[in-house]
Order: sequence, then C-alpha cells, then structure tokens
Amino acid sequence: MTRASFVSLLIALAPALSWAGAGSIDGGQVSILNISTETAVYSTTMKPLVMRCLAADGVTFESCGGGGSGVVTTSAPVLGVGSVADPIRVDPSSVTLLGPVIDSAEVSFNYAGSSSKGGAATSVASGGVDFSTITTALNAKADTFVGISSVCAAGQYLSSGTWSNGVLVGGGCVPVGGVTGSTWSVVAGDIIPTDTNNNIRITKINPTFNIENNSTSQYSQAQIVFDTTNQASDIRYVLSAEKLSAGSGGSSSYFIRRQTGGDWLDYARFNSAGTNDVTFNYTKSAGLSYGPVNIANGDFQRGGNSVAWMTHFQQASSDRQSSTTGGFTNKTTLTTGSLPSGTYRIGWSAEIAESNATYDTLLRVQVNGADVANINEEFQDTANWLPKSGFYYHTGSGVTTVTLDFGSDNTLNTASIRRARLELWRVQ
Amino acid sequence: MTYEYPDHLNEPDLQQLQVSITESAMTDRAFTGTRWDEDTATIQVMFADALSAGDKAILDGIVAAIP
Repeated sequence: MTRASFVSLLIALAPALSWAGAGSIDGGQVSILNISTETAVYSTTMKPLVMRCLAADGVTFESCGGGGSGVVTTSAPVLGVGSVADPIRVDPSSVTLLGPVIDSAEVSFNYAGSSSKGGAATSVASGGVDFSTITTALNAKADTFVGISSVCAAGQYLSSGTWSNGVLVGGGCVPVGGVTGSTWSVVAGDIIPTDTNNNIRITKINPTFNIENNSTSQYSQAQIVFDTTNQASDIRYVLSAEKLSAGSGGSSSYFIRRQTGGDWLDYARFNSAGTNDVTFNYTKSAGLSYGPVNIANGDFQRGGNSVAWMTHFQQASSDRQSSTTGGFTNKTTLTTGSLPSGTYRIGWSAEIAESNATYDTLLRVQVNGADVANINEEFQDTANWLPKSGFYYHTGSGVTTVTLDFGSDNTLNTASIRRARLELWRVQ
Repeated sequence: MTYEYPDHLNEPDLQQLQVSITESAMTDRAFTGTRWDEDTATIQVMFADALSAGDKAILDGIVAAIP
C-alpha cells in the first residue's frame, strides 16, 4: 500500500472511525493493513492509531508477508498503545504454553553440519555432549535391573560381554581368579592367557590345579578330558577321580580311553578303597580288535610280595614226606578259579624214594584227569632221594585241576615222596 | 576203602605192616597197599573194597601188634 492509498483509506473510513478519546470501533469491523510499511507517513503526518479490543472476538493482525499466511487471531487482552515505546502485544498472563508433549510438527532442530532440518546427525561437535552425564544416567538405569550392576564386588571386573561360543553374552561382573558358578565354561584362549606356544603356565612353588567333586553320589566324578576333535572317531582320554560307591568312601582314580557318549574302551584303575588293587583293563570293549600290550624299552619287573604275576598265577605244594605200598595216590592238587581262555605253563617237581630196589616208584601229573607226565623209577640205592620235574603248556579255560600222584608198582616196595610242588601261570 | 590209624606207626613200619597183612587171612581182601603221611602222622591201609566187621577186627589186631 502506498502512502497515498493509505491516506485514502483513512479518509474512506473516517465516518466510522473515532480517534482515541473521541469514540470506538467494534471488533471485526476494521482491518489495518501493512502499517509497518507506512511508518514514515504514520510517524510524520498522522496521529498514532490506537486499537482497543472491546469484545471477545479480539483483533485480527495480518503480517507483512501477505497472502493470509501470517494472520493471527486472538481473543486475549491486548496491551500497549502501538507506539514504539509501547507496542501492541498480547497480555502474557493469558498465554498458555504448548504443554508437556512436543509433537514433531511443532519443533525441529537444525544442527551443525546438516543441510536440512530433521535429518540424521552424523557428528557431534567437540564439547557438544557431556558423556559423564550420560554414563551416570546409564549406570543408574542399569542398577535397577537384577544381575546387572555398574559396580562389581572385589575380585570381579565388569565385562562388556559377548564372548564366543555362547558364554557371557550379555556381559556383567566376571570373577577374577576363581569361578563359583555351576555352569561357567571357558573357551581356551578366550580368557585364559597363553604363551606363544599355546601353553598355559602356572609358575609357582608346588603349583596345583584342583578340580573337586563335592558330590556323595555313586559314580560322580571330577575329571579332565583330553580331546582331539580332528579325527574320524571321537576318542577321548580322561583323567578321572570317581566315587565307586555312594557316601563318604569308595573312590578310585582312572585313566580312561573312551568314545564320546559311549562306554569306556580301556582303563587303568587305582582303587583306593577295599582291596586297594590296581587294574589295567585293556579289553573293556568287546567290539574292538586289540593288539598286543608292548613294552618298547626296558624290562617288565614286578616287586613286593605280590602273588600275582601276569594275569594268572597259582601254585600248590606239599613238602613233607608221604609213603605208600599201593598204587597211585594223590600227593598234592592245584585247583584254579575260572581261567580266561589262554595258554598256561604248568610246572611240577618232587623228590621220590623207594624201599625195594627190585620194584618201581611211580609218579604222574594229570591236568583235568589226563596224564601230562607218568614215570616209573627203579633205582639201586634205596637210601637216596631222586628229583623229578617237568613242565607242560596247557591251552584252555575255566576251572583247571592239576594233580601230582605217586605210588608203588608192588606192595613189597614202599614208595615215598616229598617236596611235591605244582605251579600254573599264564604265558599268552 | 581206606582205614586210618593216626599217631601209631611211622613210615618205616609200612613194610612190616605190609608183610603182616599179606601173611594174614586179609591177603585175599583186595588189599592195595599202605600209606603214611608226615603231615598227618597217620597210617592208612587201603583195600579195593570195604572190609567186613570180622576183617576189620583182624586188621586192627595186625596194626596193634606192630611195636
């Protein structure tokens, strides 16, 4: 609007207007357009325009932008007289703020480095964020959840989590130097440091690695498993301390070869209960074809007072003198338990005598009733004792009976025997 | 059948006992011999068959007669 048109407008409105102190105009009856552009005219040639709202409809102002986009309507009380010193304004006591929720349409941020409003931030200027404040807030939030703490107890450290193989995925407090949980496992090399040769070393005086089984259940174990996964059949070797019976006693130590999920194939057992025996069971699994047990170097020796050598050994003896004038009669007998199938060496010896140089003294050895030795001895000097001995390899199994008999071929001869001895031991 | 006589005779007495039996009426009673063991110090007199009560009495007399 030009200065001339504005003057014309005022002239046209003159009948309806009254200046300050001379009258009033009802709301909605008058619009004043682009006053700011006419400041020069207004300030130099006209009295100040005073607008007062006398009705609830308030006053409509239109901005210089035009087009109606800047129209603001208010029914709030208006303050000011419109002068530079006292501009027209809304009474702030009648203004209500936007409220506790800010909609996306109400606010947008134009941050540094962004070419448009509302886009994603790609960087934060140095000093733009107080991380200590954020950390404190997150810690306070973490403390409200069970099992998550921002502060770990002594002897533990706060892990950020995410180990491999499913251990400690979520992070949290991890024991340092000891584990008390029942389901904790370790992937070698992940948390246990190794040297350049993948060795785990404990360098102390008398170092000990304890694995304790605190169960009283039968067959419960504490063990170390040596496993080679890169092989066709999964064979494992286990060092195990196992309870042979429930309660406080009955423990044995084992070195075991076994298949995963299967029975033991072989084992060496050191029994610390009952008979305190040591057992090497090389043929625990009947499904495997076994080779020999070899001693590559050195001798196989036995010591102490053990009566067992190799897998089976048994002996019988009768040292004192017996005499007879009759036929065969038993001097001593060796009866075994149930032997496993194999070859057994049977040895015998005795001293015999006779009272009549004309007749014979008899001696025989039988295995399960069959002769393995049968001799007649007729010697000149009846005052002498003659040694007789021999051996036999018996192949068989089960209960085996070995008898040593003596006799005289004539009742006129008294046949005598002493120091009669039998032995049996497995040779293959 | 074997008849035992503990703690009465020793091994050197076997032949005397043998002779006494073969010279007695027991000679045809399937006599198979005598035996003596140092472990038990027992004389055994063996027959293929069991003796009758009369024969047993004769045998007891023979053993008792040996000093």
